[in-house]
Amino acid sequence: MKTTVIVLLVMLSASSCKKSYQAPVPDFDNWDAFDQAGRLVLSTQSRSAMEGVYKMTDAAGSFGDSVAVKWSYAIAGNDTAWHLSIFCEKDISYLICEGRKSNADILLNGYWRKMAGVETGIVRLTIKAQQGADLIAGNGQAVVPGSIIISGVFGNGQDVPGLPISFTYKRKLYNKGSFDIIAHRSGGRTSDLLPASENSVEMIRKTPEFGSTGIEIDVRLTSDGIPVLYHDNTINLRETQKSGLVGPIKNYSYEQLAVFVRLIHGEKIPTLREALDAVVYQTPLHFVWLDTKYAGGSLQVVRDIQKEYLQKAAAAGRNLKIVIGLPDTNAMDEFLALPDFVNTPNLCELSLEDVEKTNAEIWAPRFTLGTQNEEVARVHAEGKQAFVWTLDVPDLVQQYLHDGHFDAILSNYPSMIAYYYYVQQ
Amino acid sequence: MYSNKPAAVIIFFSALLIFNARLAAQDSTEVNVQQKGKYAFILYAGGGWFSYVGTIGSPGIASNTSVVRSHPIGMFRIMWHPDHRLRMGIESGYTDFYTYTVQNGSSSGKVNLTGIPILLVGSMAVTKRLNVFAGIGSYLLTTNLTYKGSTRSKSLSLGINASVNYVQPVSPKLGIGAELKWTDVTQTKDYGMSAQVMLVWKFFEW
Repeated sequence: MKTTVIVLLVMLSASSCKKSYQAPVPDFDNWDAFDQAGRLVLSTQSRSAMEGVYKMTDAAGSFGDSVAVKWSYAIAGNDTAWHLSIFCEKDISYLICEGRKSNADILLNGYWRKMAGVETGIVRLTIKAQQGADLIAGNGQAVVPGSIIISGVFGNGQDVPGLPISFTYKRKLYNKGSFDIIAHRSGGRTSDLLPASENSVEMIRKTPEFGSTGIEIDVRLTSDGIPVLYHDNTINLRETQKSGLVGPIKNYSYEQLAVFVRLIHGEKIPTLREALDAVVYQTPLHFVWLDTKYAGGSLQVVRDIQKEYLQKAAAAGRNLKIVIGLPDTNAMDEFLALPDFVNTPNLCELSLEDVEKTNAEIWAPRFTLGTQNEEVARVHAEGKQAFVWTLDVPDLVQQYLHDGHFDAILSNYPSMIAYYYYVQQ
Repeated sequence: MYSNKPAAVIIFFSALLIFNARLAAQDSTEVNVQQKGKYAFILYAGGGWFSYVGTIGSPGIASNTSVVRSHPIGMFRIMWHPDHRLRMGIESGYTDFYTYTVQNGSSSGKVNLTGIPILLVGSMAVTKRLNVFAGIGSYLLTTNLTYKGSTRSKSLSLGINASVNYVQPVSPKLGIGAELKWTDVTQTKDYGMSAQVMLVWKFFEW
């Protein structure tokens, strides 16, 4: 009897708790050399010259043998914030830094993260004048293998960085011209512990740092017919903070959601207009896939917004494509009921016959169907594009890039796609 | 850190089985020839007060002006009492979790969250009149929201409860009892404690 009770208590206590995982972006705003007055913003020419594939010399054990280095930007008000993203081979890791010019050197300050876990930390890098900073600044010489060495230190968590890291320029980034890296749920899943919530305006602004050139966003309608971004059918603690609101999102009006519901990182559930505003005016993204999660009419309101923002993008000089996704036959039937569906940019996930029927610009089969090179060639022959979704496994990404001919890959890990795409030769 | 309570309830049920099997084994050494005892269905119907102890989420941009965490609660439970210690049954009722009001500029709003448990319950007599119960199943949650219109929205959530009660017989078929219960709607992280009085009625026996 006594033994049974003891066993019971031990089992209960062992099962009563489990660990909650977090990967907060470390506070890296405390590098005196970087924050000193007089530091200059890097020029467009300098940024462009730095981009490339580098060979990792120190820290290969942590980040892999090679990295792809690429700049991106986001606009907030009158300011443009540039970030240097360093996409690594190992554990879906990346480094994201801000850059400044310090006398003849270039300083890069930021953080690193491994998406395959929760590891993160601060990174401080330098390009010394004689190790490429002069070259990057435009001394007239060409960037050649070995001519730029980026070196510095990284640390774990909030620790002061002390572990050596360095990488040396090898070659230019691979660029076949028209390949898109599309981030799922506007940039990645909330469950992957990213610094912003999925399907939020904040995530849309951040996703170019992760290597995305386009986004997929989930569109639902509120009870008063406002298209908003939200993935799941119901309000839940996976996507939102606790609010006392339960049940389908379509039960609530937009004003009710705006006042009572916040996404996991505190953001408002954005309207489709707010999301597209951010894409057009605050990011370099040039592709938006509207994944239609609604049913039962009102596709016209989404079509109207799509049309409006395609015009706004054109007026702003942006080369932006916005397509309505058609994931199933219900969505396709609703789409075909639109009066101008023939002229409505859409992406069809169904058969090639359905692609013809909807006059889709893009065919997007799921990855489990294979590379389907013959079908992709048929699509290309008709002047259309072929995208594949959702690729999250490194081996598969390499297989699709090497053996397939798709024009874009949708992934929850755009930084991984960026790495494997840019390091190709 | 947060609790893995459904697992805890499954372990609780398993432990009840182990405990019961051990007692049965002890009994079998004492009594060579077992005879079937009486079986019965027992109805527990109770009411009392529920106090919400979870955190109430801060709503968006509005300021939270008042929160009501305590409400009346009602429950009923039908248990099958066999001739051994482990009993099984079902439980339902009504729980009013909490209500909060907000002020957003000149507009005010109110959120009320309630739940109807639909649980499979196991229980065991600790002493002659003291019983422990543990339930696992779903809660049918309902949000009643008033803000620029009224919205009623429902959702099912996994949940558990655990309780201890004391029953004083007043006749061969009737008893009165008191119960303390922990309620935990795990999926939405809504939990609270309740104290109830109840009528216990052995309505069928064979």
